[in-house]
Amino acid sequence: MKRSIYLLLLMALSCVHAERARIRVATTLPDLKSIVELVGGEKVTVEALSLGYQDPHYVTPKPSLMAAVNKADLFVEIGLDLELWTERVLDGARNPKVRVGQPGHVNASKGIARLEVPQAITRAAGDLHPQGNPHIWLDPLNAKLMAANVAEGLKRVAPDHASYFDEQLKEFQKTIDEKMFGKELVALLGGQILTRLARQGKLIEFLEAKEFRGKKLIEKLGGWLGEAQKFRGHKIITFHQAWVYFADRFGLIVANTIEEKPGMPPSAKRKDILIQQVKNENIRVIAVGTYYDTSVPEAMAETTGAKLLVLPVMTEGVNDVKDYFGLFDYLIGHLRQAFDEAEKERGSP
Amino acid sequence: MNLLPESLAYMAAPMAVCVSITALLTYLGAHVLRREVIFVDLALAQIAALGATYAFYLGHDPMSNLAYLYSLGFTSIGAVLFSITRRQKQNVPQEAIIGISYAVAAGAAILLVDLARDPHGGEKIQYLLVGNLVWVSWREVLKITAVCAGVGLFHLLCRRQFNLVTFHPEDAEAEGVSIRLWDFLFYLSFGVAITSIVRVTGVLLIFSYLIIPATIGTLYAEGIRGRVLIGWCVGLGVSFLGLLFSYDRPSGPMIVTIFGLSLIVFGGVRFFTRSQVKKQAATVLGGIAAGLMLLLIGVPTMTGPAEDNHGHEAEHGHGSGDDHHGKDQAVPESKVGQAAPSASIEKPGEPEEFKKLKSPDAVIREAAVDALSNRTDSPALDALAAALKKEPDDGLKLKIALILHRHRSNDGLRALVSLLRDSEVPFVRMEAIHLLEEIAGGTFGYDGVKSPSENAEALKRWQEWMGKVTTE
Repeated sequence: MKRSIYLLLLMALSCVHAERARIRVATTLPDLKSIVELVGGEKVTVEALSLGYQDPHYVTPKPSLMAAVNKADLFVEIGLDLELWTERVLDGARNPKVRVGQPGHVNASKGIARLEVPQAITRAAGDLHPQGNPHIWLDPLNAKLMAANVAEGLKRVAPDHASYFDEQLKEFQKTIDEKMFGKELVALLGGQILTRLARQGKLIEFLEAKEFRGKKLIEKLGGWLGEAQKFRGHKIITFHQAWVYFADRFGLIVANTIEEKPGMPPSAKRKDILIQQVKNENIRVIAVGTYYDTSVPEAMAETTGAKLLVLPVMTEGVNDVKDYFGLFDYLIGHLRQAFDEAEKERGSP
Repeated sequence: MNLLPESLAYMAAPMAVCVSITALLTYLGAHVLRREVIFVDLALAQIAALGATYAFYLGHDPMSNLAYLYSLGFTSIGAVLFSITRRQKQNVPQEAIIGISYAVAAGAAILLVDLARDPHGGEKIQYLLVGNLVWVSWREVLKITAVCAGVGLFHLLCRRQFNLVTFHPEDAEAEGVSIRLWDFLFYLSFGVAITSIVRVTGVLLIFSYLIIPATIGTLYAEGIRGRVLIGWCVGLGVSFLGLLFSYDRPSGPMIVTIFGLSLIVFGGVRFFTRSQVKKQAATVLGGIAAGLMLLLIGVPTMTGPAEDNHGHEAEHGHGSGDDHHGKDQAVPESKVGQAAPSASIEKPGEPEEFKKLKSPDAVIREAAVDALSNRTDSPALDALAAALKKEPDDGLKLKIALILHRHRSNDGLRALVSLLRDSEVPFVRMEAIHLLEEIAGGTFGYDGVKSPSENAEALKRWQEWMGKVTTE
């Protein structure tokens, strides 16, 4: 009897110990939180400083955020001047371990090829990102590198678990590959080759040209890219320049953005141009991130008959999106549905 | 600068709104000026926004009709507050109450948005106060016109009472008009108008339409009728000019600025005509005019780069929508993005392509392989052979093996045969066996889909074949 009590106590203590031994991670975005949780597994507890429906550019640095960073062993951000508020949070947190350049700091965008790097920087363009468009997480293939950067950071602060993190990272990257291309194609070609071809923009061409046992490879394309085949090459209008990576990966063409300069209501000239363009190019879908005001896109959809889709830009941006994988299930599913409906409407006017 | 648009069609709906609100707000502005409650519209607009925010906090869309009702409810509370705080002989002026209401309503709204954890609307409420005149729909035009007409009619019918409580409150009680009741009705009708208009125009514009035409009217006329008439003319003129010049610029700030300029002009003219010493007045006005000229000269230099930027964006930024737009940009930038990691392992003196063969990025490695594929010199082939050993991507391995095979048959063949055994990618094994079949004239029973153990027999034969080929 006594023994079992001791045993229980011991177990309880070890539980407490395990809880304490967990690596505390603070991330800027909920997407990074999801990725850290998937890579860190049982070894980490993660807190995201912003919410999925907040504009990641503008977050009020509240004391609670600084407190969260103060206790963190690892701090993960996208970088590329996306989170303009992290500097103040890091300053206020008084945690030298996670300062920029310290082992406890991770720039998840390290080594990722960026789009829209400006040729010349002028202040006139308003919300300008000198290091390129920072919305890198909207391409799942980038997430494989982001996860690798996260794993590097976790290994720096907890070298004892290095092999565990390597294993978890591999698992994450494999899951991304399978969700991206479909299990069958990954089994046949491997994630590495598929990723390279996709990044070169040669994947679809390659799959259409090559055969495996008398069947064209393109027929085996599944996953998100397989579903996105339904709308590949279609045009959309977006609100903010947030969708370039997504569009580039899934073959959508962003014909224009409603926003001219961030925070400024679009002018009458822009209104005329946009409405003309939607009509001339027969654009069927307008996509807006959840954190923008929809009155202007709604007015546009009304005058042109295009469909308005309000889409989450981040994990937890809507209730249905619980983790990073869920984000793309949602985005691809809703886009496909919208284009299907637009197709039907056009078929029977 | 081509500030002027090609067609004026875009102006129709916004101008209709401007006509309605000029008609009503100039009149209300004359009252507001006399009552010395200049910022009451800001306070009421903010209280209305607080109502919409509260509806949002309860889970409704801040743009819905229900939220509109909440706004009206909150506005009427504000109307009660402002009607009971007037003219009580106390130390707190009414402007203080108005300012406090504004600040508290604004603070509470921000707090409510923070408390409401819902993906939609935080920013919508912000836009509620900014407004967007150019994008107004005809449905909204109708709504605003109806509200303005309704409030205007109410004031027309009860003009005796409203005029008494505003302009001659001391006589009101004697004539049997309750100040408190009619004050309440004034603020309530005022609030209803503000709540409806602010969604389209934003706070900045409402304030300008309310105060500036009425102020200019006050400069030139004594009675309310004259003031309102002058205000109407100014308001309509400014609205037209403001919309005309805001084809390519934010309309709200443009109209407000032109209102400001018109006030300066009308004020200057009045100063000159009423002044006893014309010479002195002319000097003062000349000074002001010179200052304005300086400002105007400054404007082109300010708009210059912005014009450039428009052109730039049209060409590059959101592109003409061709398929390659993304990829074209991706190529040079991937170099920028990937330069750092590959730089860490570079050796001094190596040619660019050799360095790139060691990049952690497979896309860059493949580009380097392509660049070297036609070289026949031994440094290039040596670099390729070295890269082949370390290449983790079996697809690239296959490619390098083929290049080597073309120039140095044996290294390439050896790599192809080892792919048969080592590659975990069925497709690569299939490709490798196809190539080897062409070279050797048969597959020796090898099947790319089978596992290495199932292919053991065939693999042995391939090793034997390799032995023969390399010794020859």
